[in-house]
Amino acid sequence: MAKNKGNFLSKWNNFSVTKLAKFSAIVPAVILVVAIIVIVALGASSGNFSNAVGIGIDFEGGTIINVTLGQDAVDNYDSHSSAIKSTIESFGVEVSYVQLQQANNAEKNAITFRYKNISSDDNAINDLNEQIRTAVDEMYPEMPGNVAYESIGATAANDLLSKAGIALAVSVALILVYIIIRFTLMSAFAAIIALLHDVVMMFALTVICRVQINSSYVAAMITIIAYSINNTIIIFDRCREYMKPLKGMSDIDYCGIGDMAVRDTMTRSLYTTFTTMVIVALLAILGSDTIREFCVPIILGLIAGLFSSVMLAVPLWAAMSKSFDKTKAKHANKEGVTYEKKAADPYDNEDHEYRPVAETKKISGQKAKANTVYKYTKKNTTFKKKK
Amino acid sequence: MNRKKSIVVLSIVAVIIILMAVFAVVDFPIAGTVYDYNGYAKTIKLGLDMSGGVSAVFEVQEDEKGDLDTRVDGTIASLQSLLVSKGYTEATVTKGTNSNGLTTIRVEVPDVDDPERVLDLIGRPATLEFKLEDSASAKAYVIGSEHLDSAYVTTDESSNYAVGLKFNEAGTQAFASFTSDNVGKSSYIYIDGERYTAVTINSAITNGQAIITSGSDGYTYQEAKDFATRLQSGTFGVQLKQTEVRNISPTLGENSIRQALIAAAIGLAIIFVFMIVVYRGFGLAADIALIVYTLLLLWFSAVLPWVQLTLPGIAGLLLSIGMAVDANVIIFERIKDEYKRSSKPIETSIKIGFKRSTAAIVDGNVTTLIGAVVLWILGSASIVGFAVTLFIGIILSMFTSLVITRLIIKCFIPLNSTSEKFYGLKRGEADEIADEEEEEKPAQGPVLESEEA
Repeated sequence: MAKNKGNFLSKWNNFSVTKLAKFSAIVPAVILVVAIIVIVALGASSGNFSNAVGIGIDFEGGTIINVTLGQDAVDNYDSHSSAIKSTIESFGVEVSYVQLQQANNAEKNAITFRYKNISSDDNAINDLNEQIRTAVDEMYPEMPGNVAYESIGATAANDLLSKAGIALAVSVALILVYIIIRFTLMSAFAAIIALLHDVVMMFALTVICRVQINSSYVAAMITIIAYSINNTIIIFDRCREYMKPLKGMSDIDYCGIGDMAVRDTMTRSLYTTFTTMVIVALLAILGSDTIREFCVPIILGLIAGLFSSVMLAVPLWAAMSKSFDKTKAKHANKEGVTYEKKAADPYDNEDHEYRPVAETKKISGQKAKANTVYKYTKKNTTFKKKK
Repeated sequence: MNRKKSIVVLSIVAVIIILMAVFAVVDFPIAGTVYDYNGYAKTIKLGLDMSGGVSAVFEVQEDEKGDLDTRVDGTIASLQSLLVSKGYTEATVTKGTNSNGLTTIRVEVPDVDDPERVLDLIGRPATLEFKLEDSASAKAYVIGSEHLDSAYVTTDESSNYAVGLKFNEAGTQAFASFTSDNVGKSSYIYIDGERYTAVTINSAITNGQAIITSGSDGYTYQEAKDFATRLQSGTFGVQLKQTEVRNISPTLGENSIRQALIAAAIGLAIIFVFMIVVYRGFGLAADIALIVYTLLLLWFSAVLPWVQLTLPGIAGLLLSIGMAVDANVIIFERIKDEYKRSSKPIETSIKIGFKRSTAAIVDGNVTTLIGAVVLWILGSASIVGFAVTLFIGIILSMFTSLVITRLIIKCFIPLNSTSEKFYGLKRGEADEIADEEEEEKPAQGPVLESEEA
């Protein structure tokens, strides 16, 4: 890291995600528990679990209220819509969409409001709708009977979720295969676990932040998955590079390699999250409620994605690779083998030579782990100019 | 590349960018024709939330056949696929109940101004019946709503337009027995309870296909198309009665769209400035590549039929810009690293930086690409548009970062090949260079601070 100097540099070079792994594992666990508590508490107190989760009108359907106002609906759209909206919301429902409807006959111009029912009992829904209808009707005494309501089903196609689920499962499988081919089995598992973490965390955080889940949420989720797997791959690419000369060796210091890869890609991880976040965050700040409903989950997902790629994927990969090697060694009964092989030159014909030094084992056996990491980077991956 | 050549290349890039940007927004009549050119950025199709559209409500007619719910669901599915097949991936079809307690089907189609157009799209459902006697009350042997799978425009043997019928499994059997039992007899085709035409059955038709022609002149293409659409809608399991058709405004409202555009503009400006501040000359190259990326993305969104931009779509586009920046960041970080850790000249560092970051960029993007393709194939209609946008975004971001950025940086080198300041590069500090000699040192410092000092 070029720009980190002095004291910070020393701390930075000791920054080890593998040592922090225990703490990083706690964070998602806590978030998940909080989300479950929120769902259970809200669900149990209201008896409506889909509300507790925040499933929106697109998936659940609800009620559409049609207020016929004639030409005035067009002329004074803003004042009418906000007044009626607040009347409706005073009954405890949340208006999801407001729309102007223009008929060929201007007298029939209307403003429609859609909201999700807060109860799952038909009678209760009808009672509430009737109350809302009366209340809105009273706002326009000169136009009696201009308010009508209708129940509407889910606008999101029935198969949206199931198809998205299938697509997710298939793409996870294919991505797994691709990573196994291009990287290693353990990288693939770690990347997929990080990906699943993002899905779960984004959902949990959305629940905690009480953002409604509508059809745009599916798109947000897919974006985050794509984004996060990309993030993880970039870090694993470094691991792959550092692993190249160590091929075929045993007792590799996976933690050291992983930490180094994370440190070397940290600038990029932060910059990229920043450049991606900046537009979405601005949209959330400047945009309307509907836009915010879409942007907040993405922001939460970006944070979850950054966290999983940097803090979780690498420690997982290191731990799994280590135990995988152990199992393999046991099976092959090869435990004694150490570093007789000369490593291949990692950068074909470039100016570097890569020299692993046969002391990793001894060092990693020593007490201070912090130094192990450091020593790995300094000693075992030393770049030496040929000339 | 020499100085002259690189100036030429840069100028060409600049001209292309300016042309693409101008063509994105201008409108002009095309000389010598009645057509107008419309800026491609304006022809991007918009979804319901961005542009509104038309909403039509149909009442489902109660009948005696029973199991209405299942048939309503089937009808909704058919309506949806009908709309998707016409490119309206963001249209919604919703089941509801009106105040009379009747089941309704609400169809909302984005980006359409004329309410009549919706009816053209989903057709005025026509019932199709094949009878043996010329009477409205006679027995119908083959019925559109039960037996027809699809109706389409085709041509008959004399190359006139005709309407092709394809029967479903039950329909194929029914039609086969109907025709084989009555070879040589006249049959009557009834549309909406009125005799449409009479035909003589020449032979048994067992392949479940039939063609309806119109007299000797045939249909015009438009007639055939409308008729096919009506027959297609006649395959719906329920009878629909239209109750209202209205224009609907965007759910987002003019304001939100303006706010979103402002947010996007500010965000892009911040990214552009950020890249130049952090990466100087490289940042400039990346910004040029990003402009190319943005313009190409707009163009593809305008010409590809599946893309119907909704709010998520827009945000997806903006996000993909963020991802396009990412590839550049990866490359530049790598170049900085190369330069810092060695004594190579700038040009070599750039070459190696590109070379070593390519694998990471390709692998990262291919995994994302796999996801996009799977969604494209397996996702439901509204997801397909999103998947296509994502797909284009990834391909373009790889193209612009690995090709355009590289090209522009290559052009910079002959103009300025030594300025560390311009490229924002720095050699490593003494201790970092020492890194490379580390192995020679006898004492491998176990404590970091000692080295720092």
